[in-house]
Amino acid sequence: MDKLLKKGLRVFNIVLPVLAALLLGAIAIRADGADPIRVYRSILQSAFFNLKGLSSTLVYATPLIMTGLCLVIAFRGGVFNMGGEGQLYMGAFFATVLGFSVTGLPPWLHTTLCLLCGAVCGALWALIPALLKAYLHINELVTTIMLNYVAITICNFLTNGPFCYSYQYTSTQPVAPSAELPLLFPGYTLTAGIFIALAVGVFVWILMNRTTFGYKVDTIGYRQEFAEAVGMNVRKRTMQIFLLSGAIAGLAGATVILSVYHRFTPSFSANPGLGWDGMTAVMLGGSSPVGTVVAAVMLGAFKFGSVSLQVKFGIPTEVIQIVQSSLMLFLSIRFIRENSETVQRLLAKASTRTGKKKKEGA
Amino acid sequence: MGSKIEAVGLTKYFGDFTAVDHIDLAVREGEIRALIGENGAGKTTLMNMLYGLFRPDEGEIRIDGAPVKLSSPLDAIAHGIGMVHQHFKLVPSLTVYENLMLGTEIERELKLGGRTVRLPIIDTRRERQAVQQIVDRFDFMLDIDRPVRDLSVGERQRLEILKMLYRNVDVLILDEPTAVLTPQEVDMLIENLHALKREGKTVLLITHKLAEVKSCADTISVIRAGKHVVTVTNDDDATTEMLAEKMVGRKVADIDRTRRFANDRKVLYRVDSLCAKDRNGRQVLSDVSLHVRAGEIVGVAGVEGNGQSELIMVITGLMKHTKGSITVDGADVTGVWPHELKAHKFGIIPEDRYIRGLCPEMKVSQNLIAGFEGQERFSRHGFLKRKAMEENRKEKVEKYQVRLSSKDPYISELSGGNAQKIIIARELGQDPKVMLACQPTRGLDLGSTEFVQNELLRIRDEGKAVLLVSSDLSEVLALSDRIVVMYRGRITGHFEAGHVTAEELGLYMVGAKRMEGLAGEEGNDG
Repeated sequence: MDKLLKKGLRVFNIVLPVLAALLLGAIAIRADGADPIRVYRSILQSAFFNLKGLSSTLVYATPLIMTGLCLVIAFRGGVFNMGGEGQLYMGAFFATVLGFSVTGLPPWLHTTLCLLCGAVCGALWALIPALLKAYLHINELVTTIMLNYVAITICNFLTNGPFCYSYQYTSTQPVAPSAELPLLFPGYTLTAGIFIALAVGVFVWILMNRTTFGYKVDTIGYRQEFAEAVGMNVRKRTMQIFLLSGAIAGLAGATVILSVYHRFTPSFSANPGLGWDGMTAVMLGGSSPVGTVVAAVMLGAFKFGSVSLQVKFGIPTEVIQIVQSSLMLFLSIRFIRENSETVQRLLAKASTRTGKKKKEGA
Repeated sequence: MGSKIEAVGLTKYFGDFTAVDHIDLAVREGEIRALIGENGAGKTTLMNMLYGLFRPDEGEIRIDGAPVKLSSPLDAIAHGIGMVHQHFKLVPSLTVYENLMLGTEIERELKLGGRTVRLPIIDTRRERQAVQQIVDRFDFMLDIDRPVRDLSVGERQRLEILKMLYRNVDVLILDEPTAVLTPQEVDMLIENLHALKREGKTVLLITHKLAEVKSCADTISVIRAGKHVVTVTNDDDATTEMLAEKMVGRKVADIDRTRRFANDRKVLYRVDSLCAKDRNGRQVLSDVSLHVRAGEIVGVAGVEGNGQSELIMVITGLMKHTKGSITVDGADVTGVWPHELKAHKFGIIPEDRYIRGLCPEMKVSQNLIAGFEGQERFSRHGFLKRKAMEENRKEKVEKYQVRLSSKDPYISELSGGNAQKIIIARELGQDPKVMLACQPTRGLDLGSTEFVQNELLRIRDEGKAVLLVSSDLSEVLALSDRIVVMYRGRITGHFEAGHVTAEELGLYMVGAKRMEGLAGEEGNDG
């Protein structure tokens, strides 16, 4: 009984922010002169109930799944890696460079190398805050956020400077066709990238639920003093968590470039940025790998839906951004604390009532 | 004569659990009433209701015969009921009088013509006067200008009691007041309680220490499993044996502390002139030397905060030492990481059960493998053997009689005693040579305490070396074969069990006595 109620509360804590965000969005849509219910229904329809839409939804979801998963590991290990965005940029940029500078390789090898390069560069960029945290105890929240801007600026400079390709449009040279991730079905935008994302999902799930590494990550995340006292090397684990998290973010960046843009442009991550959207996914998903993947697909649907809205209803994409940003805001509020006194009292009341019923029945 | 404070059919539920079950209690004015019972018997819940912290689900509270509804401690104080908790709520950097006045500061007044204006400035002179007055009235012997951080535990407790008296309470509730006191401080407290009684105050004493109850209470109420068992007058008929039996509901066996081994067994654990400094560069350990032989329990006694915690941190690899060495069975383990200590067969029962001992957010099975997850029996190629974890849980739960509400609950759902059993099960699982037990029975009920203490004696008889650090002097006396006393980061006394009384130890614990040249002696013998 207690457990059921508590589970219910946990679900409520995720559903309530979603409803609140949708309500706020509805006000904005209404103000723009459209019917919110029709708009939301249209998003659902276009995102899920036809093949083209579903394919696009998954394209949008692919990087979000990975940036979300990179945070699952980090958050469960108590590492607040807010640097997903920067790691994504680094991964994306250097994967692109490898994509156009090397030619003549078989496609499977070239794409694999590019993806690996992205993961390695993401991890290397995460190494900076990791070292600062592990050895100098500098708060990773600050360093990772700051390093995001550094990473974006570096990529900007490199794209405009040494790797400048066209003067009309800020971008690098396009990658060689052998580096592109193949389309899955002709006529649809979906690429093999989705498999990479799902594979990362399976990997993270196994890692977190079945291995000693995941066990240690959870322990450190819950209670660092305990982890230290029973002999876990917290410093080493923190480094590993950071590197793994950065690698997944870098891989996400590489995947987006190789499957969608095929060249690096500094604005590829859009606003608020794929790394930040991953944060929404992980919060919606409650730090579980499965939940995060599901949440990322939902967010992908929203992203795609917002594009189609502009075409269909003439509603600016900013309206959908209102929903997204307020969702993030509401999610960070825990509306009901599961351990608050009111809840405890409710639980107590509910269980005495059922207890009494049991006694009466007997 | 009517009752000063009365509980009528007082009841409190926590979910399915009835913490306090229709308790009737009537305490006369000027009476010292002891409320005894095991941990978890409902004493504290009952008192928290009287102090307005919990609202009763059924029944009522009467003061001077009139029913009252207490919705907060502030409310209770307004009705003349005060409570001193086990953990003190004082500001270390402020002085005695500043702490006492916290929240009721006297402000300076300015006379302007016929009117007085209160200024937002504290009137130190009048505050000190008022505080000195109340200290003198109850003869509490406190220097009101000393900062609280320099006070002993006993003095802090007196201050907490004064805080309540200053707020004019008639009924004073004390929750486990002697848990942290030295024997001398306990005597002083008892004296103070008698002084309160002479002033007409009513005292409610919650405790599970029978000796002290016998020496100061007028009447004794026994509570077991939320129910009132009996109330007796404290006379010759109320023997401690009888009271213990009523508390536990069965006969309590005395601890069999006969030693199996003579004094010439191998030294399994040795700490040699260990020194350490804390973050601020303060010397917290000075030349601490001790050794533990196979089949021996060495108890470290001392008032809390005299370097025991630091000693534990250093020997478990969580804090750096500046000098000295530590060996386990001859192998040097000075300053090694906790996981290396494990490899040397060093088991640890930490003092803070839910911070270093267990992870409350994780399940029993997960806690049982913590620190051993890399071993072959629990994992292969980095993958956890979930079946082995399951079997391990089943085996340990059965062997150590852990009571669980479901198959594999979270540690946070366990009672203190059962949680401690999980730690013991985990640490003994590796068959350690040396066991460090820090405050192993703190906060546990009598039954669990008995279990843990017997377990320590059992592994001693198996030939393990046990180092016991406890601020509970009676526990140290009951279990140890040898006792060392720590005072201000030094070992100031070293005794064979049976050759020293609690009073004698108390003098060493407060620094009134010390043995000379002890560090050398301890280092040389054995």
